[in-house]
Amino acid sequence: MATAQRRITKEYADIQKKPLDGMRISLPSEADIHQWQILIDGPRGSPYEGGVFNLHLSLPTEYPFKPPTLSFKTKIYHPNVTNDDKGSMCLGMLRADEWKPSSKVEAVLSFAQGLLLEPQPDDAVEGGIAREYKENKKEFVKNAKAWTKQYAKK
Amino acid sequence: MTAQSVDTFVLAFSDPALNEAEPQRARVNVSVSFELFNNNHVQTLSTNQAGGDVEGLLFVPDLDTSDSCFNASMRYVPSNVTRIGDLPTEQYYYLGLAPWFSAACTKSYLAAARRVAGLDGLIVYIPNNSTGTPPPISDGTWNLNDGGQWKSENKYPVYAIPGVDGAIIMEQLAQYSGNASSPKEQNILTQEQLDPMDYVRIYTTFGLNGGSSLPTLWAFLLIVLAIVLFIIGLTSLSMHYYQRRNRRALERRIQTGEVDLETLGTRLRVPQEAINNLPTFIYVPNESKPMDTNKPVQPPLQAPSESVAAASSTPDHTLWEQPTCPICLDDFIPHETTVRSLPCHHIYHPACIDPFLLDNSSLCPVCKAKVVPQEQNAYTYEPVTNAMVRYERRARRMRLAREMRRAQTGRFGMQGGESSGRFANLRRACGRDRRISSAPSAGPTTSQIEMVEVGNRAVSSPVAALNHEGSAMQTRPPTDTNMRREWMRRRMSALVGRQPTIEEAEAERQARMPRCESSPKTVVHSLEANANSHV
Repeated sequence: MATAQRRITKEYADIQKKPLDGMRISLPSEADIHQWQILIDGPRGSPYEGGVFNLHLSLPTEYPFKPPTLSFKTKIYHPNVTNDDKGSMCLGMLRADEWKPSSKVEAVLSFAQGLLLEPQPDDAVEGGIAREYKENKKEFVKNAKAWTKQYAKK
Repeated sequence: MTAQSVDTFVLAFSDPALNEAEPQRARVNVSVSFELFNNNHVQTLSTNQAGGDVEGLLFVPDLDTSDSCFNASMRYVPSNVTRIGDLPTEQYYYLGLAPWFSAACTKSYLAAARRVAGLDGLIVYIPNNSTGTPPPISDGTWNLNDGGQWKSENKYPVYAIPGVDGAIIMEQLAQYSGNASSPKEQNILTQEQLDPMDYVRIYTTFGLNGGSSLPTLWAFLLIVLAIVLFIIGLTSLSMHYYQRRNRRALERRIQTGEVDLETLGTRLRVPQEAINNLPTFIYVPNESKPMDTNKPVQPPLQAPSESVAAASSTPDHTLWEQPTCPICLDDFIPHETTVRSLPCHHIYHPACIDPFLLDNSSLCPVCKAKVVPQEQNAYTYEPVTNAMVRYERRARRMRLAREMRRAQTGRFGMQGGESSGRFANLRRACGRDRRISSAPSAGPTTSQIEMVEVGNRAVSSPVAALNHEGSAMQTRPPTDTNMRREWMRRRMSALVGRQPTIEEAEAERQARMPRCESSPKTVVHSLEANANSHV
């Protein structure tokens, strides 16, 4: 799909030209522009501060008509990220029926960054963590910090 | 089927050949005749065709006089014994009785019995044997040295009785043969004051077991199975019918434009002809003045329909806000790039938007507005599925509940379509639910009008009911269809014990206090006002 190739190349170039704050984006394989590697710094003021999180963004061949998928390769204690090998992130805008072709990767990544700063427990995939976040924030912060220290060391 | 017992007795009966209106048949009293009942001392040698009852008039099969067995049998069989010729030729079945003294002669008896029409079975006994029970089936006595072939040759059951019993019956059989030399028959006929023409013969019935209970069990199981299958089939059939009817109904409503397909979570696609009808222009930047050369550069392949032509005749460039194509992110080159404008005034490269509309969606990639008005039916979509029916029903219920709550609380002056849209947006933002009713605000469509009407009815009926009864539950169904539906719903929830939803509880609480400042009347009134303003 030429359209997909062109658009992804363009988006990648734009994002390299004007990098997002606290994010480093690279291609694990130069040959495959559909797979992006993203390193996000834990946002200041969040329990993830000081950690670096390795994310993987996969852009389908039908992009931008089909949404990309975003997953955490680094384990993270977060209500909106599944606590398994996949580390899938639940973003409303990435759902098939919510996705708009006019949305850009940049917006997706900004949204993910925002989610680190402010989790959305009402839209959680990890119910236990979401409950803890709502009812016992202190404990949540403690756990999140511990995980960050253990798994997301710089 | 194996024999459990055997009962041998004397039977007096009228001659069936006389064709009497009421054939007489009676068991002769034991005191003047004979009976032998044997329980548990019967061996079943062959069970061929032993269906139902095994019973009949007793006789000794005739052996050929040339057969050497004929002379051999004289020792055991009296000469005046009952033969088949002594029995009536119709209406009765027959049971043969034969001594089993040698394999060869048994075969002769089997063959002789085989020739008798109406034979129900053969009884054998070992003469000069005083044991009370015949040898078991596995005993070598019963071996005819043909590997059991005789069983398949002779299609009737063969039972063995004790030798003592056999000898007694054989002796009695000579007494009741109807010959002049069997005096007992005449005695009985005179003593019992019967017709001198009547027969008095020995009759034997077998009590069968085992086999008879098994078929009933099987029959029972089969009946149960059949009933279960029937019920399953009926349920499946009615379900299929019901679902099919619902699908048809939804299809019709889609065709009339009453239901918006996009709200059913279906991805519609736009056919090529409808895409061709969307106007294309040469891109002109927003800030520049409209130029007179702004006429369609690529005349649509087909003549545009009137509505499209009317919309595209005056392209308003001030509405074009994008300098880039949202799909490929390339900038449009002023006065050079050809752009396709959707009804929502979002513009794209035709090469980018066309495949999207053709293969993916019928909504604008930027604002999700409809590209083609539903009335044109210019969509290609999958056939209506049960999932769509369910989805539409759920969406309708939610919408109804929302309408009800709004009408009951009354004070929030939200407009129908707008507020449902807002709810939908909220839900979408939370990502918790799929698009339930993202009704586009493109003027009052039929569905919106219907929606208001439905809301009106749904609200007014409980209010009216409460006005009359003052309680949440009526005991008799109301006559009006919609009121009855509401009444049914309430009854069902009462039966099921379902907790009322928040809006229902709120509605009931409100309704129970009619002296509240918002009386039901004003609620209805304001709702009508709402509806009117909306329409």
